[in-house]
Amino acid sequence: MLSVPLIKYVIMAALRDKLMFAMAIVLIVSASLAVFLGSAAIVEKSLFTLVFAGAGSRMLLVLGVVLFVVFFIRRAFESKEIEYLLSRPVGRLSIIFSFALAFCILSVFMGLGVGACVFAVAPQLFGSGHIIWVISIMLEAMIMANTALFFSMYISSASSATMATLGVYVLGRLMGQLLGIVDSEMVDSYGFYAMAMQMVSVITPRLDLLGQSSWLIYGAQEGYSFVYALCHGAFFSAIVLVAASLDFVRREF
Amino acid sequence: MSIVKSGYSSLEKKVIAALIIVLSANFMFWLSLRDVQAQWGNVPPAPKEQFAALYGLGDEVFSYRINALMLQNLGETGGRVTSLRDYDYETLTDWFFLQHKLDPVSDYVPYLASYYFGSVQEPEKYRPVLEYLRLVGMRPDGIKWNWLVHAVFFARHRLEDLDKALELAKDLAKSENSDAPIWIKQMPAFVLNSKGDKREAYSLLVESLKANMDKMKPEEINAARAFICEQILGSDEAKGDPLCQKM
Repeated sequence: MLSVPLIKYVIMAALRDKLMFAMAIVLIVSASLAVFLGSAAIVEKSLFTLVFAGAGSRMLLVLGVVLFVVFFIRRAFESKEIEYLLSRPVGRLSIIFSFALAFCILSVFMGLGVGACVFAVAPQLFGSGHIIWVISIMLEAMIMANTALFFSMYISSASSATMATLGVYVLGRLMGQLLGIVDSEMVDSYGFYAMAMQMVSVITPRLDLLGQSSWLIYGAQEGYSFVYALCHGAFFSAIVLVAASLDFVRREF
Repeated sequence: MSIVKSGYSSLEKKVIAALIIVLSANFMFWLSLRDVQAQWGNVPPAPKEQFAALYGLGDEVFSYRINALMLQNLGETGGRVTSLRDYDYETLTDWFFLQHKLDPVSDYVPYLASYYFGSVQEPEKYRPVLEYLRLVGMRPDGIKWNWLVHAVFFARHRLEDLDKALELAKDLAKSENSDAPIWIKQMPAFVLNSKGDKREAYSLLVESLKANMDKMKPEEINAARAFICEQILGSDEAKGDPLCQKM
């Protein structure tokens, strides 16, 4: 089912594109900005710096992963690399799942870079919450990598696929708030828009449950289940990968 | 080897003329807009609690920190300096309550509310903030009681509203923070003394001493006795009171 040479190929492509180098530069800039903004606070400067570094680098991680995945896949189609791979003894499903695993591996390494960045801006505040936070943003990056893979398979324009993926990301981050509004007395819970939002939430990842800045400064809440978060990520990734596979299997070259 | 044409063709001259015209028009437009600056519309209305975390894409603590920096710099950006008396303190207090929902543990906004916004030249404007400081000060964690002390101080010395100060002091005395100093339990006595109700103040302090003697440090005991003997009791009364004998 999985092709190790294909996984290595994707990782080599990331190294060739200097993805890690670019992420490192971007994280340094993000950390510098966080330190600057944190220094503007009257008190709790280091907490401000930590929160801004965490929140900013989390978004940059997702942006980096999504851009790489989308442009890699579109370039593969446009340069006929996909057709070359299909001419080899590699199954279509094997291509999809090998790509997905490679993107997940890249997400892990990039997540470690983000963790190092967040540690560097406030090492005195390091705690168990940091570790939980880093693992959760790795999960988030993996979910978004698989989502980007799905959109880049279906949408032929790289910019459109990127925007669609980032739209899902924003929706996923806001979904907790939106469902809270639906459940409140502010809207008719059984109205058209509320029901539409409920239906959309079924196939949207709950990214608000991952990578919370409160873990960096107060530690993870008691009762928070990582197993639940893993299952959630696995279920959603399964949906997008199966949907991407459906398109790829039916496509004629 | 490149060939440079001598002179300009008629088309080139027309394009250059058009460029000069649009640059001049842009310059005139710039002159008309040069002094146009954003007007500060005072404190913006606070969003409802359900929308509060949207600023941070669902991350409540991130939203808290963004809002907190905004509140700190409110009215002071773009070269503008605004007097605190010009702020809408009612709406400001709405923001404080909202921030409390986003992150009740941080001391940042209570610090801003107490020490920064508490410097307002018209104390009466600050009254709504006292309710926020009461809410924060009643939390049993950290040093939250400190903010309610500030509220009592403000009511007593800035607003000169001793009834309000006493009401806040009584709430302060109910604090369940085990690390808080004993004198916060005695605060109602201090305010009662200022009000002139010395009998009540004396009773409260004596009861406090009796109940907490084993938990109080020597300097706290001495401070309480000094307050009773020098502030509450007159010199003649102090001479006859056994509590003041050894002083």
